[in-house]
Amino acid sequence: MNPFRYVKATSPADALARMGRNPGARFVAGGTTLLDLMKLGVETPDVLIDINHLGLDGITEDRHGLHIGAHVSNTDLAEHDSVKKKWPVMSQAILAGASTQLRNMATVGGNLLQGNRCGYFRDVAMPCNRRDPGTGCGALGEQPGVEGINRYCAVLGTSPSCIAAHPSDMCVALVAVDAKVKISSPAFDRLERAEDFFRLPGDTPQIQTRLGPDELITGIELPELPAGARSMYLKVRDRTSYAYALTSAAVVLTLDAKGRIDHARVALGGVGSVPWRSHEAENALLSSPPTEEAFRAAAEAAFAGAVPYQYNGFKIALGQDTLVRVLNELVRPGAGERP
Amino acid sequence: MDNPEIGQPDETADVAVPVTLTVNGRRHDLMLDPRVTLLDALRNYLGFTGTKKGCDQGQCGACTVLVADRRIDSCLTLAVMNQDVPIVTIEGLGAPESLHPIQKAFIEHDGFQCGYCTSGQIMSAVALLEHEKPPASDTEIRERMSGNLCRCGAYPGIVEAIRCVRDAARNPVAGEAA
Amino acid sequence: MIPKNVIGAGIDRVDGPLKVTGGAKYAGDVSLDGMVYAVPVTSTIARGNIASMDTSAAVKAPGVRIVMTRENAPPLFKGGNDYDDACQSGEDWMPLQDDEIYYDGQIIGLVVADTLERAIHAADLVETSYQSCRPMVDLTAALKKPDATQPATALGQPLQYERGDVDKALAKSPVRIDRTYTTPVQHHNPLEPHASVAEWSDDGSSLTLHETSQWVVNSRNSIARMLGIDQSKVTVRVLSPFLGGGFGSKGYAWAFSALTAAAARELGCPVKLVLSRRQMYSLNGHRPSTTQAVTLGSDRRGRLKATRHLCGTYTSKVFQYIEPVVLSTQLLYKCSSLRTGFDLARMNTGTPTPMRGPGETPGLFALESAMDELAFATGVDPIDLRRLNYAERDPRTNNRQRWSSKHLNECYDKGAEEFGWKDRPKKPASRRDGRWLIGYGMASATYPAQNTSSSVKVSLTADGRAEIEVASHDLGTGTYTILCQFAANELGLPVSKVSCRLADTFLPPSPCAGGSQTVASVGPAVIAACKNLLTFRKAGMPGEETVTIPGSQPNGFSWQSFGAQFAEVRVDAALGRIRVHRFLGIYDVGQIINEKTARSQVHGGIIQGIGMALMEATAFDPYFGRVMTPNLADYHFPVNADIHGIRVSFIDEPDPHFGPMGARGLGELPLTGAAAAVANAVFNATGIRVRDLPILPDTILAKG
Ligand SMILES: Cc1cc2nc3c(=O)[nH]c(=O)nc-3n(C[C@H](O)[C@H](O)[C@H](O)COP(=O)(O)OP(=O)(O)OC[C@H]3O[C@@H](n4cnc5c(N)ncnc54)[C@H](O)[C@@H]3O)c2cc1C
Ligand code: SF4
Ligand code: FES
Ligand code: FES
Repeated sequence: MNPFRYVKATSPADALARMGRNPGARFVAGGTTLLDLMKLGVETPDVLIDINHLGLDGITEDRHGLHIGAHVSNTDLAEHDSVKKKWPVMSQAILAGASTQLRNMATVGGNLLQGNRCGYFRDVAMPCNRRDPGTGCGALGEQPGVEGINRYCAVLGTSPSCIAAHPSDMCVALVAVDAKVKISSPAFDRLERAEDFFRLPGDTPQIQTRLGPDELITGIELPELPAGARSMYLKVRDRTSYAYALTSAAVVLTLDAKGRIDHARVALGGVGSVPWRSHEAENALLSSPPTEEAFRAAAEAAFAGAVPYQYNGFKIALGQDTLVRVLNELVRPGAGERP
Repeated sequence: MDNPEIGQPDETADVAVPVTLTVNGRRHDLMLDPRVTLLDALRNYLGFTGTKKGCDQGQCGACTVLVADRRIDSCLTLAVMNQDVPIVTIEGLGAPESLHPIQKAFIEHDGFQCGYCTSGQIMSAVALLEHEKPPASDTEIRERMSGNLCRCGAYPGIVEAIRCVRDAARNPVAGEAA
Repeated sequence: MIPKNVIGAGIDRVDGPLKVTGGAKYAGDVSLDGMVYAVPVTSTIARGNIASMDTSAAVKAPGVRIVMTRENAPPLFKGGNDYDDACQSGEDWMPLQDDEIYYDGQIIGLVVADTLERAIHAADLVETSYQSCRPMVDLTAALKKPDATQPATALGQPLQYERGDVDKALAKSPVRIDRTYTTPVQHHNPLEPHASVAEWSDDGSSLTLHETSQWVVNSRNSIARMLGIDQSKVTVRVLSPFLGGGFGSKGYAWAFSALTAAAARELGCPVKLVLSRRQMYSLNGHRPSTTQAVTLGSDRRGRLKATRHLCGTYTSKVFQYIEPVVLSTQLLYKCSSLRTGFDLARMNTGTPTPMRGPGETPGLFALESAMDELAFATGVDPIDLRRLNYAERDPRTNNRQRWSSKHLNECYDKGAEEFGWKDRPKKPASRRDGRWLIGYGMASATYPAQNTSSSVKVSLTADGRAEIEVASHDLGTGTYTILCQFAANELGLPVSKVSCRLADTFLPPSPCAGGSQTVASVGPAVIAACKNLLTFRKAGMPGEETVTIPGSQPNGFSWQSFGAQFAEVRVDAALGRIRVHRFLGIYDVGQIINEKTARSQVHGGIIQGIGMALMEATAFDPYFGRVMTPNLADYHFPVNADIHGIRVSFIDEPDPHFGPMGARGLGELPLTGAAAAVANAVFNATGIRVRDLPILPDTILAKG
């Protein structure tokens, strides 16, 4: 880790002002992403601005929904009574991530900005356009036919410059519930839809979100889900716990009086360059009866544009099956989730 | 008051800053490089070597301690960020002559082999049973103890130890008889 | 008070109170006055040469004491390559002596600073440029290169072996299984990183090393040799009283320890070096990947007529390590025509080294999977198939030599009974619970028994306390407790009156804590010493006894442990999820000394076996040769939630022809065969035969 100065900000305005004065600075919240990347030499801030004392740690509820401070821990959000009752998909997604220790440390704001888990990004000796633009993409490989270790990479939304998958569980649920991100910048405050917050890699994989370098996330808002909505998150991974998603799916669904799907929101994890909202799947589901065929069709629509790489082609089938499974579970709860 | 962070710090600057840590009920005033993690502060500057480093990257749980009654991985937080909060390490739990019930249960159920993950496992177990919603089933114990890796594979004993302490707390009489 | 049944009882670990209170001091916990911190600088390429190293920024960084590279490093020497003389290092080469890069993560420098933070940062400031070449990290390709060899033997046993006429027997066999199985690179990943703390006396006449070592005697001899120390002039002492797991990775001596001592010598102050998790993927060994072609020929009832097992694996460019994969195939079943072959490639990786159950573990995955395929092909129950081909005597001796004791049939019987084998789904993919397919699988386990010469000192006080002293080790294996049990039993003392000091080269020497031989080697010495002290004990007098006993001499019997393992898996085929729902192991290892620690050790072996079956694998970038999974989030081994329903049982029969206690050791045995039991259960559950480990969700999806 390179040397840095440590300063403690006392309010959002103070944090922004300090950031404005130090272009090489970083905010530190839980530290579980930032300190990890600093130890790896991927992040080398010269000033660390501690934003754990800005008073952004409350959760309040009103008729529009839930207002969550940026510094609320992942644990507190997942265990919040209203969240468990009204946004179960959020709670399930958070609890599917990392470990209790890490969720106790990790904050909502930090989770939105957890970089990515690509092994090449995390190894400063390896080429990576996202970390060092122009050096190449290690996961895609140097030579045709000799791709890098890209089993965990994305199949949706990739570009020739970067194929990394977004690793977050929470953000997939945020996208599915149409959450908004509250952002404070020196000039003004704004709300950004979670879905729009994340940027596809394109030619500039180093820019991952719409947050400016001098801006601060102050919180998120969860709008009320439609009446009668069911929601669920499911994650498939290499071991039963404490592992990143190979694939995941977050779905919010309502059925009309005739039992047809009249509202669906679908987001996918582990398969996209960003937490992947699939309007294609949603459109396929709308107005259809909740049958296996309809679910299959939606899953196929979701992955219609998928591009596989040498070691991650399985994510297309697995991602589809994950989505179909969640849809089935939502209309026929408990039909098989035993062991 | 403004902090003197303005201007590019010299590449080599690693000026120590005052840090006060409250560990196992005692206050310690230190001068530390801001880079020192809570884990390294405990181990290298305060001599609490019961807390272990297995990965230094939040991937194993060997460094688990309680901060304000919550279990965290002390390798991914800085010492300077943990002032004014009570920190509890394995050394604050019990001594060989006066073991905490969880420590006793770990011995009785052989919840360890090499012992290297053990401090972290025990701190996690303490948080689980004393500061979180008690686990309802073995499956839940397993899931909620999954942030503590054990390469020796002591998991069956760990689950037994936690289950027994939980049951003894629920039903003290039966617990003692068992 | 005379203790009853001290041997065999499930006594709590005597080191338990220290371990649960954080009081046990591991090497990396040692802190000495004036101690400074060393951090290795490692290569970022896997093959080539160092063109230049710029250390100017590192040297100027605050707190830095020394930056050692090939330019200024003191001369260091190859460690020994002599296992029998307790001088065995992991590499036949020494870093910082030349420019060549043989593998990714190789040590190319050492930075020492007054704090850990400064040392780590300064190591990052060293700028190295290379002339790099394309490294060889692909086993299939490496096996075709001219530097691949066919070593004749490993561990004194033939690798290129034939009995009978395999080709003829195969040609005549009506049923034939001919398949290739592969196992990946695995890393030991003890939770405790390797560490060394070195301190010299002021006059340079003695060096004390606090090491992560499973064999302190070897560490002393090898590190002394690397440093060019004449042990008759300089006293080297190595201590390793608590070890956070080793699994083989801390048996051989590694160069970083000598570098630590060399830095301490240069600087005149104690130096601590703890490897980072990333460095542990290059600098302290691993289990090499294997590709194994197994051919079985049988009659229609499953009687084996021919067996052929050809293994390809590799070693590094700096050491000749041979993973003895095919040896167990030569003895597990009765088969008159059998051939094994072995090809050894060389690759640009860190050196492979023994890892728990070396040889048997990858070997039995292949053999026991092939046996399952044969059972399926012939329609014979997998257990019946094994009974049918039971080796009553050692097949390597033309079925003449007897086993010292073998109860494998009882393992099959007892296991089948306890597991409910008769309820097994007879047809693959025929049973389900909701979305989960259910399958049962089994496999045999085997591992040789051995013991070697050990010394020990036992002292007795007048008031009836005994102390055992020996340079042996407790890696979590229970040695502290078990040795106390032996002494308590012999001297008629309660275990609480016996204490034990281990892992210090100032104590009487003992062999490597590897190969499941500690109890069988050190135990007899403790017993012998105590027997000599009995007259003192009866007279209530203090006494002291140091004995050295030889390892067991050939006695006309073959020494081998056996077991049978059973797995029930549940597979959610659409999502590729696999859960080991139940696992039962029945082991025939002779006398059990401590039921509690034995059970735990076996749990550990099974859990590592489940890890091998379902998730463990190290990946190298195919182009750069760099380890791409060098941490515990990318290299997965089981977490608590992966483990359910493990049961263990022992055939607790002392071996009458092996050592005074008839205890054959059990550290490695449970890992052998475990992965095959799981893979066979996956086949039974799904009809999908996986021949390439690990069985990940993608594996199931691709084949389903
Ligand atoms: C071993 C391990 C396993 C993990 N497994 C999972 C998993 O399975 N699923 C999953 O979803 N996640 C996983 N995580 C990631 C974890 O969820 C994130 O590290 C965590 O959410 C980040 O939050 P933090 O508060 O610690 O962020 P920090 O590390 O403090 O910050 C992260 C980044 O966000 C910036 N930042 C933080 N807060 C703000 C703010 N309010 N405004 C502007 N910028 C801000 C920081 O400057 C920094 O760049 C894992 C992490 C580890 C170490
Ligand atoms: S996939 Fe993206 S993050 Fe990974 S190496 Fe390529 S550019 Fe870097
Ligand atoms: S050392 Fe902190 S989690 Fe491993
Ligand atoms: S007891 Fe050894 S790592 Fe858990």
